[in-house]
Amino acid sequence: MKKTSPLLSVQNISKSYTVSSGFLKKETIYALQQVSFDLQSNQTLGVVGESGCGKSTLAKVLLGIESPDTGAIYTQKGNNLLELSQKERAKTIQMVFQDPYSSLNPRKTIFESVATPLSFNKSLSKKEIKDQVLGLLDRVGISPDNAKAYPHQFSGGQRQRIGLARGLITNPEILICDEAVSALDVSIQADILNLLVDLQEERKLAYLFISHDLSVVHYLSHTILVMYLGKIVEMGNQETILRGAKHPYTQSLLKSCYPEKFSNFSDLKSDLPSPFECYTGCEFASRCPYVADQCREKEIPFHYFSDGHSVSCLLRH
Amino acid sequence: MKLLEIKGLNITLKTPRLPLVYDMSFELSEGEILGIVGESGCGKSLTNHAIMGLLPPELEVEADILNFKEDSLLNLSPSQWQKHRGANISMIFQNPMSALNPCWTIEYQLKEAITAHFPKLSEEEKTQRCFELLEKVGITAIHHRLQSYPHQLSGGMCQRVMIAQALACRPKVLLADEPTTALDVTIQKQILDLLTELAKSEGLALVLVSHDLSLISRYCQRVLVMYAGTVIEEGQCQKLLNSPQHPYTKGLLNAHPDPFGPKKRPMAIPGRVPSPQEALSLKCKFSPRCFNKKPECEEQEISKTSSVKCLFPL
Amino acid sequence: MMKILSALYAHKSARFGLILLVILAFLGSFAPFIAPHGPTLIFTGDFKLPPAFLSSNWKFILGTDDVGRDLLSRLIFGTRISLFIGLTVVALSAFFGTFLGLLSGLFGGILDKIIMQLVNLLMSLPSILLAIVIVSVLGTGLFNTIIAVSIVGIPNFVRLIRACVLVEKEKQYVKAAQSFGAGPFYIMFREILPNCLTPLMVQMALGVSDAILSAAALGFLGLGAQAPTPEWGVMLADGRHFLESDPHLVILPGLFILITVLALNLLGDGLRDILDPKLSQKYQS
Repeated sequence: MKKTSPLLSVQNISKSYTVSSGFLKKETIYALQQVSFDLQSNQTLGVVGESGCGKSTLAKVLLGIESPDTGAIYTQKGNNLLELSQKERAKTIQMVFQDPYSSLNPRKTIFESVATPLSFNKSLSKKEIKDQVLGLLDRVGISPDNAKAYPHQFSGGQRQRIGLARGLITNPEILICDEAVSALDVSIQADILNLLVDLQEERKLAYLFISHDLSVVHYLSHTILVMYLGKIVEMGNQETILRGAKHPYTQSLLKSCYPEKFSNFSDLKSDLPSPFECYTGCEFASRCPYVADQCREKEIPFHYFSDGHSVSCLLRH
Repeated sequence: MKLLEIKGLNITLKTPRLPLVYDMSFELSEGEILGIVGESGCGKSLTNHAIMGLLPPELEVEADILNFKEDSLLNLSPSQWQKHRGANISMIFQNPMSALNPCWTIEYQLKEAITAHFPKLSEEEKTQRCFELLEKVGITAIHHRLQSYPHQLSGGMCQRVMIAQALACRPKVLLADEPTTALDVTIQKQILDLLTELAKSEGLALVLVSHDLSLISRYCQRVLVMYAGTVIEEGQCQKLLNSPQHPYTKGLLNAHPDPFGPKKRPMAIPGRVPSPQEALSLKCKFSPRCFNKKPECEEQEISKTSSVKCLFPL
Repeated sequence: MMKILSALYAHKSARFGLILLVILAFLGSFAPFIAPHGPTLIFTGDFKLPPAFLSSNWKFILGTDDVGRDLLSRLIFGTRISLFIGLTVVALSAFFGTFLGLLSGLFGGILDKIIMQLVNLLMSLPSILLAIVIVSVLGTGLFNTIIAVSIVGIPNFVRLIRACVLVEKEKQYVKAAQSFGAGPFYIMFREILPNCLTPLMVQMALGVSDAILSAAALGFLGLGAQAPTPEWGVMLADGRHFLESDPHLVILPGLFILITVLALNLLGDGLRDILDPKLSQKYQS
């Protein structure tokens, strides 16, 4: 199979935050640690993990609203995304946000909200902008007659569609969906998921789909990334992560979501550890049911299986 | 033994006069785990709050029967409610971080709950009870946790503390209102396992409210499906999942993608939940969105006593 | 705008304030046509006359002051001055306060620290004292009164807007704007500021009454508007000496100040009641 160069090649992205905890005391949160992966064109990469795993930080770094401490993000053309201006970057990568209630400016009509990214592009005339905005709103299922309405006049599902239109208006190649359907009711979720699938086919989009809902991630994604405390612990195609997961954390996630199907996996002990500490060895050691002494000694390397499956675990169950 | 008996519960907004929950009926026996499933706006939280007497004065509660054991819970005075809350019926809420008071330590809050119903206990006895409770909910390093403040604990830990607080006065019924929605997936399972274990070991009856039908089906024996203010289907969990009779239940099941089933598009239910105002004029509240709709659905009343509120069950 | 006005009219206490304010604004705007005499016109010999319902001299409906000027006319012209002071002061305070609050909230860091320390400095002194200090530096008179009272009013607006910005900054629509390359000034003025208008409007309505009181206080102390300007505070000061013999010289200006401030406060409170719950209703699913 001819390997095409990836649409996006994320290499060794690290990001830490310093937080003051008490008088003159500072602590560091290692939000992302040496994260690397590729995103292929016209494919969906699902990212799963719980709170503190760094998936939101990853989204912000890719989008450009946070800068990483180290690392690079290469596009297919060879540019480093981190070196582009935000406006240039917006033509490649955009995002749909999680909260339908705060992701649209309540004081702007939905037309204005969707048109704003285009209005920074001086080469377009007002008529061209209007046509593009109304056309895209129509495509996502919002009648152009309602373009002058305000966000509070729409339901949660409709607001997510408007957010989707805003994300697509600059014709990016990559769309990040950061828990884009999590705040919606199940019956509305299905609509948005189907819309995402259709749009991907029509526009050959690549999605980075972040969610905590494994069934939704499995439905949409071609490849899945599992993150824990800022690191990727397992990566593979959708089928492999479902039926052939090797990392104990991935197994515990699967067991929590589908206990009847994965009853052979062990349960986790205790809660998530503090994100403030930097661990030698495996971050998951404190909760892992299979932990051994060697797990705590040094950095765990990735082990690569065939067909793109990789696991960061010494014991690889 | 019947602990809760509810028949014909109506919760109405006083001005303008709008029914928010109507014809709600169910029973709860000792040791039973009942699930209530529904999407936002269906009235499941309102029902729970009505059983606890926590509804604001703008809402009116009426029922043919609203009993805890033999005592009626209708039109109770605040002091009568205080006797029931905590000692007979207890509730745990959705967001554990905001349900605990950020100003007080865990010990203070637990003791507050204990003192409300057992004021005569000495300090040592109360501390002893705190230890017992935290141990029961699976918290380690109890001494340290007792002195902590809510913001120092994780979401899962806070939820355990809330469960401990709810159990402090040995209630017979525990109402869990979306107890795990705000928590991580791995913690969700731990908390729900804990709740169901406690229900068995303490002989509690548990009402589990959620929007997630698959979650409910794992833990509950019986389930009520709510839509637009009333129960539209009820029955044994497995039976409901395998052969739902109401088109809405079927729609809910079809809407969620199943990675283990055949690869198919999740089917959304067209339209949206009617507002209480819109619902007033409909005979069947689900009919505008129903794929199985027939002309009679707009004309005939549905019998209040059937377990499936549909003229043409599947 | 019309929706707000009709909601205010429906609000029980705000309606009262609204009507009073409309009357006062009318009086102030058309003062030359309504007032029976000129405000500085001296009627020699007719000084310290009591109000008409006591003396049945209907030439001077509310009587005259110690120099012989018609009290009613002076009070009516005084309305114009006080409202002018109030509106100008609030406009200036709000303008500069909002700008500083936006900078402080959005950029944070050293700029925020400097601005907030300045604000703390201004707020640590009693407002009247601060106004007196400023007026002593600049000199007396109406114009300088306005500047002094404006400066005193800035900190409230800075804090208000800064708090609002800090809340709105975290919302996802701001992150979305950042993601498509909007610069900080675009975000400040086109995204965040429109969402801070509600508390701003309430603070402005209440700020007018504060400003009028402060200006009257300065006038009373002789540091504000100067004679023969018919400013209410000045009138109070002049009438103070005759409190026992001719109390109407003190009571009537005091009453006008009271009514104006009351009307503005009722309006401001009503505005707050109307705008806040509507906002929270809007955000409910």
